Amino acid sequence: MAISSAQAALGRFTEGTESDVNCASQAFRQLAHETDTVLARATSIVEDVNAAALDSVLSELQRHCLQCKSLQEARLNAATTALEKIQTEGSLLMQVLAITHRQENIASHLKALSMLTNIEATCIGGGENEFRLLAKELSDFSGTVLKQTFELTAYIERRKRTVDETFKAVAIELPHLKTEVRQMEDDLVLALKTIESSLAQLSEIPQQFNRGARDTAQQIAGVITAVQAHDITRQQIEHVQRSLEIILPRVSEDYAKNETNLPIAYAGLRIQAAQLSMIKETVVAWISQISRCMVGIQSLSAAELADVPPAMLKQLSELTVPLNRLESLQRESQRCGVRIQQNLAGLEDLRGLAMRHMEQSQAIRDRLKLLTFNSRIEARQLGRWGSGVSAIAKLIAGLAVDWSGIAEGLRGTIEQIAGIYQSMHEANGVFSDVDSALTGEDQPQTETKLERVNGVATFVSKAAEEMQALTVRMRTEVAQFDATKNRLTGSLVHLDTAQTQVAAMICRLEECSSGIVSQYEPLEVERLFSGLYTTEAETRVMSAVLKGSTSAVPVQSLEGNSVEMF
Amino acid sequence: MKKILAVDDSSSVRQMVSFTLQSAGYAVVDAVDGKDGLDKAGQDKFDLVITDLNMPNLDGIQLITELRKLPAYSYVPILMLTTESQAQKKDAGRKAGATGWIVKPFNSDQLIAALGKLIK
Repeated sequence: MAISSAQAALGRFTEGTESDVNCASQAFRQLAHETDTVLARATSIVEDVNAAALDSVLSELQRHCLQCKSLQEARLNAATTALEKIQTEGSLLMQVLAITHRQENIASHLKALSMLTNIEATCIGGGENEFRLLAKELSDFSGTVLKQTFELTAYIERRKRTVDETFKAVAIELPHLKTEVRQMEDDLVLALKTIESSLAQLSEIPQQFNRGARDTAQQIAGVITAVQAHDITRQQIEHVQRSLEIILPRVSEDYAKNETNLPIAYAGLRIQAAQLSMIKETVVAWISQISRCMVGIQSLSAAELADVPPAMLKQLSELTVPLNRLESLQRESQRCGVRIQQNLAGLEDLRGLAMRHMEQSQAIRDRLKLLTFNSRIEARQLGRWGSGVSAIAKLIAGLAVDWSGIAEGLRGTIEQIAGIYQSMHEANGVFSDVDSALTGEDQPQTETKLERVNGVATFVSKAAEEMQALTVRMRTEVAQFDATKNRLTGSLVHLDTAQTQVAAMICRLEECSSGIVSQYEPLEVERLFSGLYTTEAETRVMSAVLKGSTSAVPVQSLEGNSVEMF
Repeated sequence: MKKILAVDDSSSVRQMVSFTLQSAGYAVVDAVDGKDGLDKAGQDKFDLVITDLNMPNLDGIQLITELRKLPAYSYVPILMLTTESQAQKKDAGRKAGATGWIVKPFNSDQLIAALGKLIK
């Protein structure tokens, strides 16, 4: 009865599991296709991300921003220096104007002296004489001096107006630029920090997901071997059932009278008990493999991967704002540089003109000295009638001294102008085309890199959406398979029933005959049962039982075997 | 595309063999026993045959013997996929004309690698 119950239980196990295992193989075949698709997508994402070299993008961005920031700071410092120099130039121009006004005064005095000389010449009498010539010379000289001075005055006044306008414009632009640069720097720092974390995620998360997908693919490969293992256990159960068929008559009342039958039956039952233990462990192993695979699929999710690109795309879009601002600031500061350059050109003209005027002033000074000398000679020649001319000569001498002082003052002012010119030249150098060109070349390269990242993020977003849909479907399919898996697990109860019945029969035989354990002939038992066995595992179990070995029940490996070529 | 005939009386094993080989890019036709396998081999030309050993209606050894009699299958690789590993069974298979022997469960990657070498 117990043996029949055991056979029936085994039959129920086989029937019950057959369709469920078929269901498992169909379900996991579909899951395997989907996993392959997910894995292919995940791999292409990883390849695309690696090709984009996201690490280098961030460092390039940081380098470019740092370079631009340094350039802006240098320009602001240069513009600040230039502004001070422009202000100084304004003051110097006022000094030059004062000098030219004094020179104009001297020229007017010379004109007056010319008239005085004419009057003296008239008093002395006689037509043209030396004094009339002196008067004419003084008059012409005065005209020349006035003309030169007026020219310089007019230029200086124009220059002053230009310098004042430049100062006003730069004084307004500079603080605004400083504020903008500070703001842009803050915005860039924040944007780069935010994008740094997203770039890291975009690098890491696809790798993690790829690893998860590979693990799942391996788990599914494990299910394939598990399904094959079921086929093996099905055959092994058939062998147990056939073994029980052989044992059954040997425990019936008639057969039991034969002294050898019961020991053989006992040995056979012990072998079947060991076979059932091995079968159960193997079934537990392949059901566990299916469970592990289901857990793996349930946990495979592209949600985290799908979250990264939208955030990154938004951050990339936000990053373009300070980057564009950086570019426009470059242009704005360059305009400031143009003003400085124009001012520098004007300074160069001013310097040249002032130098020429100084040379002329020196010539005038020498001329005045000569006139003084001539006048004194004329006055001496006139004797007591030359007192007026002598006075005129003194006045001319006084003007010559004044003029020398003025020329010296002009020299000092010109030297200061040269110093300003040098500072402005250095400030202008900061706005040179070389520096601008370098950062200008970087800008399109940076934009290209950002576009590349944008492309990668968009690709990842699309692929992640597809994978998300697939993984959701896979999780649904796995959830639907849950009932089948529970039935498979529940079917173990039939194996337990069979084991219990066989164990009960073994106990009964041991109670009937205490020495039954050693009463059978192992070779005879082996001959009886070995013909049923087709697997190495069954043969090993039988040998272990017949040797009385108490080694652990062997569990058949699910690793899978390779092909042996003949 | 290379075509493979898979013969096994277990539907779940047929499914797994088909799935494994189709994933590797092979076309697979399956048969439910030795007789079905022999009929299908006669109707179509296959580049490789994988067969179980213990089947009703013509077992694996008999199937191989019959296939080797057909001119089209004199040199086609035939692999035995079985639970049995005894030396005398393998010897019988080799003498019948089997090219190789695989003890269940098979390792997918190694099976595909072997097929790659057998079918060029």
